[in-house]
Amino acid sequence: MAIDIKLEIEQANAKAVNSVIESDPTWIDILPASEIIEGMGPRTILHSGPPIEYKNMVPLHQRGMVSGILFERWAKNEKEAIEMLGTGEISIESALDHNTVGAGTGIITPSIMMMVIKDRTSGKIAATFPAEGAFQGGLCGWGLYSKEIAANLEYMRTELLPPLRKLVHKLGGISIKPILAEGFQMGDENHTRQTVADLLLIKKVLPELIKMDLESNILKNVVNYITETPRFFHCFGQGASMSAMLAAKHTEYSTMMVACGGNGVEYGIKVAGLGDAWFTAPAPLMEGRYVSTKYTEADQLPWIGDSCIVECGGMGGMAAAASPIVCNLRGMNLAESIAQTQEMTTICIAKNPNFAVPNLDFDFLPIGVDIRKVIKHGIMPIVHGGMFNQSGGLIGAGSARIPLGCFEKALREFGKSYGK
Amino acid sequence: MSCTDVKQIKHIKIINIGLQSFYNSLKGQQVEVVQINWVPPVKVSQDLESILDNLL
Repeated sequence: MAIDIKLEIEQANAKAVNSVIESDPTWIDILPASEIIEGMGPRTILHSGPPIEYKNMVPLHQRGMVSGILFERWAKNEKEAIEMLGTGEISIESALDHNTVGAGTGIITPSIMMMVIKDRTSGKIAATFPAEGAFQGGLCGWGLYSKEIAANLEYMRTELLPPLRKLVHKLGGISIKPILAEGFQMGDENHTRQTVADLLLIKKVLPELIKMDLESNILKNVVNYITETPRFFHCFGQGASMSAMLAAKHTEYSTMMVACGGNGVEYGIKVAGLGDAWFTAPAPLMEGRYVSTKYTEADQLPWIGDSCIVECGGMGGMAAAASPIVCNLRGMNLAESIAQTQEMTTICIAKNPNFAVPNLDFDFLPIGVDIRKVIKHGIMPIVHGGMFNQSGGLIGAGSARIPLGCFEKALREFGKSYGK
Repeated sequence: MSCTDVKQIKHIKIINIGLQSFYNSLKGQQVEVVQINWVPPVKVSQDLESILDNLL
C-alpha cells in the first residue's frame, strides 16, 4: 500500500512534539559523568557542538581538552596533555552524541559531577553540569584549568553536592516544568535569563536544607553556592529540554529538530526522524550587546555551545515574548519581543499548553521546530546566548539564527531517506 | 487632495503591507491602520522545492 508521506510526517511530528509537551523533567540525582552519561568511555572528553577533531578545534576548545586531561590527572603538565591528544588515546566526542549537553565549551570528563534529570513520562535521562560557583563557567563551561578551579570542583564533589543529593533523594525528586512555567510568566526566557527560576528552586531547596540538620558551616556553604551562583538553574532547564528531546529522538518520519549546538567552527542540528546524523553549516556570529565598548564583532568567537538545546524545548529565543527585558538588552521593545515569538510560531509544529505567557495574552509558547517550515518560510530559529571572546571569557550576550544550511542539508537527507 | 494632508488621510482606513515604520508613523497620527507583515516569497532551490512539495 502506498504511503501518504505527508500524513506520516504529520502523525510523527504530533507524536514527537507530544512527547515534549507531556514530558515531566525531574531532578533526581547527582552523579559522576562516568556513571550517568551513556557510552562515555574511561578516557573520554566531551565537547560542545558537532563532532570535530582536536587539530581543527578553535583554541578555546583545544585549551578545554588540555584542561580536561589535567583535571583528570591523565597528564602531569600541559606539554604531556598536548602529546596525549596527538596519540589518539583520548576519545574526543560531541556531548550531544550522548545524553548530555555541552554548554559553552562543554568540557565534560568522567569525574565531573552532573545533575541528573529524568523525564518521568518517557523514562529518558539527561545529565548536565552545574555552574562552578564563584568560577562560573570554570572548566566545563569555559574550558579553563587552574589549581583553584580543580580544587573548587573537588570541593563541589565532596562538600556542596552531597547534601543537595541527599535532599533530592529525600524529596523523591524536584519537578522542573512547574518552575519553567512560572518563570515564563514572570520574565524568564530560561536561556539567558532564569532569575525567577533560580528563586523558585531556591525556595524549594532552602527549607529542606535547613531541616536536614547539617553542620552549620556546611549549610552556610551550600546556601552560598545555590544563592550566589549566577544562573544556577540553567543546567536544569537544559536537562529538562534534553531529556524531552531524547524522548522525541528516533521518531520515524518526524521532521522536528531535536538537538542543536556549535563548536566555534560549525553549527549543527539533529532531526527526530534522521537518527544521530548531524547537519552542519559554518557557525554564526551573534548580534547583541557587548559588556564593554572595547569589544567588537572581530573579538567574537562564532557560536560555541549546546545550551541552545533549550530552544529545542521552546525556551530562549522561542520564548522572547516572555522576556522583553532580555530582548531590550538587544535594543528590542515589547512589540518586537512578542513578534519574535510569533515569528518562531510560524516554523514550529505546535504550541505548548504548559507555557502560557501574559504578554501573549496567555497564548502558549511555540514548540518543536519543523525543518520543512524553516525552508518553506525562510525563517531560521533564533537562539539566545552569551558571546565568547576568541581567547575565552564572555564578552556579551545576544542572539543568532541557526544557519539555513543546516536545514537545507537535513531536508535533502530527509527527502532521500523518506521520499521513495 | 495632497497625500500629506493628514486630516484627509484620517478618514481613510489603511492596510499597510511590509515596512513597520509606515504603520508606526500612521498610527502616531491617529490614522486607522492595520499592519500585515508581508515579506517577499523565499527563494528555495529547485531540489528543495521538489522535496517540500512531496513532504509539506
